[in-house]
Amino acid sequence: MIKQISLILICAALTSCGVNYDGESRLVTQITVVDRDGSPIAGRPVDITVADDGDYDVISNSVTDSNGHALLIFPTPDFDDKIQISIYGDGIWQYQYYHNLTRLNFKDYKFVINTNLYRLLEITQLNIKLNHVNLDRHVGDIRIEGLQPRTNVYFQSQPSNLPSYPDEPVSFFVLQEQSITLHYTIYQDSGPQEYTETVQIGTDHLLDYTITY
Amino acid sequence: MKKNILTLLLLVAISALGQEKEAQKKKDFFFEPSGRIKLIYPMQFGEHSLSEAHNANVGAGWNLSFFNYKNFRFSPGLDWVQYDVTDHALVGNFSTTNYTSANGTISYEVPLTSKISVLPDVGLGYVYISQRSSGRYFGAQEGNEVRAGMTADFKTNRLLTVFFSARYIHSNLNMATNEQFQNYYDSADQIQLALGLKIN
Repeated sequence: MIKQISLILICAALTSCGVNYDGESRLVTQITVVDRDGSPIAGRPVDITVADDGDYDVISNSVTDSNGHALLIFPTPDFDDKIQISIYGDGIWQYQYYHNLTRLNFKDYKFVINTNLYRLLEITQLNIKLNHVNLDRHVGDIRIEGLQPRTNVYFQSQPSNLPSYPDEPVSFFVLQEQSITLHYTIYQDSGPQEYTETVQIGTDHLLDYTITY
Repeated sequence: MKKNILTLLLLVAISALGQEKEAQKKKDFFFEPSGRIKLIYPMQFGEHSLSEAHNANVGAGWNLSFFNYKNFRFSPGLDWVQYDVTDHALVGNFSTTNYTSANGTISYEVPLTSKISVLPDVGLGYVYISQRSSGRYFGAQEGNEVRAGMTADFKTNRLLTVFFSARYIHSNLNMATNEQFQNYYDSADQIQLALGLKIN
């Protein structure tokens, strides 16, 4: 009976939930957020979440000061634990999340973020619509160059760099009052042909742009 | 009758013990056990995390001493203080930091009057700092400390002495972090005030 209880206690200890930390080591995150003009943004809530196989802790949190700075220092989690840094949005500002960091991303125990946040009113949703008139032709590899608000930044794995599916409409969030370059490829029997167009972004929050092929 | 005999034996024993103590005090080195229990309040100062990102609570401690050599005493002891975390951004999102010190001090007793003595002391200690929140454990930090201070004893009777002490404690703690913040987490300075009872 005593053996069984001991075994249960040992198993419980080994499988105890929660993220483990090294109390004799600290990771430092230094964040600076500015707006489109480079002016610091005060009052942005930021936090750091550490996840380990379904368990997670919000291990540190703060708010950007009048210089747009936030400093977060926290005990170092295990090597394979995932660290997420969140800069929160609201009804005025966009959010920005940094996913899948580990302690290896902290060079000399430090990770620095200098970033722009944009007002939601400065952002346009650009919908690339497809007008498919010739059934022998297909469109793909649609991408843009221009100022875009970064919302999700991935480390280790980057799922967002996949090419778009053929004949599938796509959307981009872009900053207003700029010219962006749109790239796409038309696939046809004679071979693929790349196209480049300039799209003028105004102050509308929704903009449709149609590719006819 | 039994009570009277017992009382008589007790008086004889106390008297004999008193004579033995007097006899012992004429020697350089003698057995004189005593214990101190105390309430302690640390006043952290300087630019380090315990000072700037925590609030100290009243802690507790004890010391034991067994021998006296020409008024010198060696006293092993234990101090324990819980700090509330006040700046989660600088320390981490947990509620308390527990500071435990296992230390040994050497003191020298200077009698001022028959009832009052002062005891300057120096000591070394092992430090264990752990971080907790709602039963969760967020890691521990080890280190060492040096301490120097002064205790004032006020003898109330043969058995009990009230004492007050103040001492400076410098702690060196194990820490690996960015060089810019190393000193903020690897050392601490405090003035520790204590009020307690010494049991002779």
